[in-house]
Amino acid sequence: MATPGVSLSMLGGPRGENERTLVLVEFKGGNDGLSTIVPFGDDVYHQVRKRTRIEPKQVHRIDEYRGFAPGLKALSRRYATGKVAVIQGVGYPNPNLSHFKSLEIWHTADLRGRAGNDGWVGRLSAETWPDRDLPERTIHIGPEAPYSLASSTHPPVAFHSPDTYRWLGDRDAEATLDDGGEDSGSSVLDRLRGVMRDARSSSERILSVVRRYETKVDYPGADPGDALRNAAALIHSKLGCRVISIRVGGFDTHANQVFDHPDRMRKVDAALDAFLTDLQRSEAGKKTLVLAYSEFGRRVRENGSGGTDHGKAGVMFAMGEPVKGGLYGKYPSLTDLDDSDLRFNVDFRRVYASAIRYMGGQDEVVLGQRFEPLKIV
Amino acid sequence: MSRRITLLVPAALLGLLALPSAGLGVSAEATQTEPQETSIPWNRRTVEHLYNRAGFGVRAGAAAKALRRTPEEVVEELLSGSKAVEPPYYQQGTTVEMAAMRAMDRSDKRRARALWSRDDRAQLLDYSSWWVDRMVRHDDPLRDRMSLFWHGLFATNYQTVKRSYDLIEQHRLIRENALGSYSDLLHGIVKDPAMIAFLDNEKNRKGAPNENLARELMELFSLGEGHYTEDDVKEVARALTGESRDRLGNYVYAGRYHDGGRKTILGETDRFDADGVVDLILRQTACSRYIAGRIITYLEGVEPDEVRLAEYAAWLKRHDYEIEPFLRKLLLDPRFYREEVLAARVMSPLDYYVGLTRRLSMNVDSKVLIAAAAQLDQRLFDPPSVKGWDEGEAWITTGSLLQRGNTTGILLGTIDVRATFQLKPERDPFEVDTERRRAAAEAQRRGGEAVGDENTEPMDEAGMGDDSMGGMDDGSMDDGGMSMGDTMMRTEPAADDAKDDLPKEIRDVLRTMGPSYRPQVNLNYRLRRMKTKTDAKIVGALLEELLAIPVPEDTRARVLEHFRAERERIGLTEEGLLKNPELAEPLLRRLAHLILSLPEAQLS
Repeated sequence: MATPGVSLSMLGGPRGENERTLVLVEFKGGNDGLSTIVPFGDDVYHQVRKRTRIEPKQVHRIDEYRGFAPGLKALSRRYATGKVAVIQGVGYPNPNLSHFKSLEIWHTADLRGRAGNDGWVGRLSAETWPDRDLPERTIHIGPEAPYSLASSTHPPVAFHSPDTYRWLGDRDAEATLDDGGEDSGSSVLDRLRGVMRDARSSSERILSVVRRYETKVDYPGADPGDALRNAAALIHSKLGCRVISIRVGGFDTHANQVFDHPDRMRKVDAALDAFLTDLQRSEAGKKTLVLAYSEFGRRVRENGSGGTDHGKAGVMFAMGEPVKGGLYGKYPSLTDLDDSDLRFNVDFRRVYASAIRYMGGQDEVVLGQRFEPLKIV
Repeated sequence: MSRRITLLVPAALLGLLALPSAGLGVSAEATQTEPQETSIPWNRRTVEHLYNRAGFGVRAGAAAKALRRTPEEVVEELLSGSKAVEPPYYQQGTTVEMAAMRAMDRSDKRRARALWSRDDRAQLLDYSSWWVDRMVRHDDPLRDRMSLFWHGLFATNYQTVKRSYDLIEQHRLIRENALGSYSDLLHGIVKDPAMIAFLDNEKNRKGAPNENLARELMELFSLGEGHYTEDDVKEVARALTGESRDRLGNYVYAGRYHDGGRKTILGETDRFDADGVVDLILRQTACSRYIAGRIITYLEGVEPDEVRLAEYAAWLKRHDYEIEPFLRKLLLDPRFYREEVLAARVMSPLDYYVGLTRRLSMNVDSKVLIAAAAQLDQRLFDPPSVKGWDEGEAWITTGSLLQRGNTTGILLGTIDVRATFQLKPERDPFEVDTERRRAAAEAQRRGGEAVGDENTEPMDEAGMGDDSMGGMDDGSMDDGGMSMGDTMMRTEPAADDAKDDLPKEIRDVLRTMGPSYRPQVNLNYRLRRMKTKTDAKIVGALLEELLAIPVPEDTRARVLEHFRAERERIGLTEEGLLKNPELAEPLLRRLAHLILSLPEAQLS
């Protein structure tokens, strides 16, 4: 385990894995689809969004109806090269407008939300990579790991910054931390002991990869650039990470949307652009599927505060070399509304289904029912 | 053990021993032999449990003392708390500066704003450290425990509100009513300026409703998801129109923006206003169930079963949402002490750091504890969302578990930061500030953008990215990319990180400690007083002192085995160890660090 190469042959090799990686980028707070893929060719858009609307001349046009937000310059360029899929009208039946309930639904892929079930990535991991020899198969980088990665049997690894992702105490004492068996008589203690074991076994591998990572690609600092840079390091290393999750906050634009949303778009665009460029440097990078999602879109008509309230259907992006770019789903009608909100026409679980298949999993088993995979890869 | 511990029981607690406890009619001495009167299993474990959950933990010796009293007496003392707590006073006073600022040109305004913002953050940190200090001192622990609960329930964050005064006032409302009436709290919170700002209600006007407060009022503050409809949200938003703030941040009812029409909410139609809606909500069974469930789950660590929830919800409603009788019932309920609940709650970062500070009886600046908890995503006055914090096992990831132990090692001085991070020998890790200050000053000279940091408070640079301030927002967004993460404790470097720089998680804690920090602890001295003469006794004593729960035998055996090997390595006998403080103390601190890094140390 001294070098990444050794750990790879020891841990990653023998199961004939295809070295594919799934990266999940969550836009926390409910991203406004209308300000992301802008329906500038729709008169209704300009009527309902008097204060937050984006001028047609600023939009990076896809066609005469819609285009990328001004801040999504790099993504629009990548879209033109066929490596970005724009999935329009994404949602699920009986949409829930609570951040937390809706996130639970996205994280569990279950319309009941959290009901004693694991997260969908947790289930993917347990089904597809059942042997628990590599805790870092699923990784969250940054604070607040999402529930999607939760698993009673295959919990994720999570770290903020690689430098402190190890116990800095006495080397000789370290083994004492996690020698305890999972028979302490307390189930919570057993689980904590498992987390400690995972932490210690994964930290050495992750550190060796991430801390030494060098790339000429210039990532924008901080959120979410650093996390994506670390993700790229893990992917290139072929350590065996299969799913990497990051979260970006700041999308709950109830007010001052005209300032806050473009700012988010620019930051996300720059970070994703760097990441996608960086991924081109290795085969593993070229086999990486990046999905960006948010728990819901926002209300069609803006509120009185220069913002928008919680809504329903939203937009997703699929990015990376394996992606078949283009438009998916229909742009939801701005007039035929579901109680003042956009109607969805693509169930997000269809996107999950194709991601699960891409990752070599069985979508019906993981999702609990069959969804026609969206042909984004 | 107990001899030393008596010193640590706050005088206020001792003074309260004599408080008359309703319906008991027996003195503390007389009850010594009657603990079996109650069906609460009253022993070391359950006493510690009570202090862990109703407060922030207790030293082993203090637990032994409490055991000599009845559960009723101890609970009554917790409910009474100290009446002598004196909250600090702060001036609202930003109005003069704001008026002056309006006359300034753009660059002066930026500067003034950044300075204002820095001062404001400092004020919030000052108040936070007062609060955490209260938790450590433990003279009104249940109030502070419940304040933390309500702070998570009525979560409001500084990033949005941007005025410390408003958050401090909100906290005063919460703290004063923490054991009082939830009804008062709920009525107060919909008119609370910080909440109004946080959930955009000043923009919620007749004809142009904003649903943010309406939704969270029902979903998170009172009823819970699933107990209202989307139409209810829209109608409640109408009822809340006009609940607003003036430019100074004071609450105002703006009648001209209020929608006085009829609304149908939760099946009732009336001309509801804010108070009317709150009263309507309080009448719902779902409300008492939600609040009862949240409190029980917070304090027990597991959700109550249906029978128990119904019982407590009915009790809460019958007692007009008074929290004190509710807590009395809960803390004296034998089910609060059942096996499933004992030692099965994962501590929050604050619980962990405050608890270990208390158990080590170490003097640590509360700001250090705040910085440490902030690095684990528990930032006071800045919860991650309006939902507050996910409690329990959600706190633990592989990363956070390691980080807890590392910060403890820094607190105990057992981690050599310089060696660990291979800092250049000429560079003092504690002087990162100086470097930064120089870089910031340089940047300021070059671009006139950055504001120099004149002091070493940890939030120095954070103010730089702050572009808006209450009503003064001129909409400029040209900051250095820090509008997202910058919060009270979250600091970003002003200059690019050098390769050998310290990781942020550790840097913030070290900065807050400052160069004069030394761990004020003397474990060798403590153990000598306890007369622990064998490895087993030393390990046993420290496990008992430092952990909130008893450890399984296998853990004890492993720690002992490690300690014995360590002692033998330095060539001292069991008997001789404590007589050599210069050798023993580092060894004991490393032992304490190990113990506090164990999975067991996360439980209370």
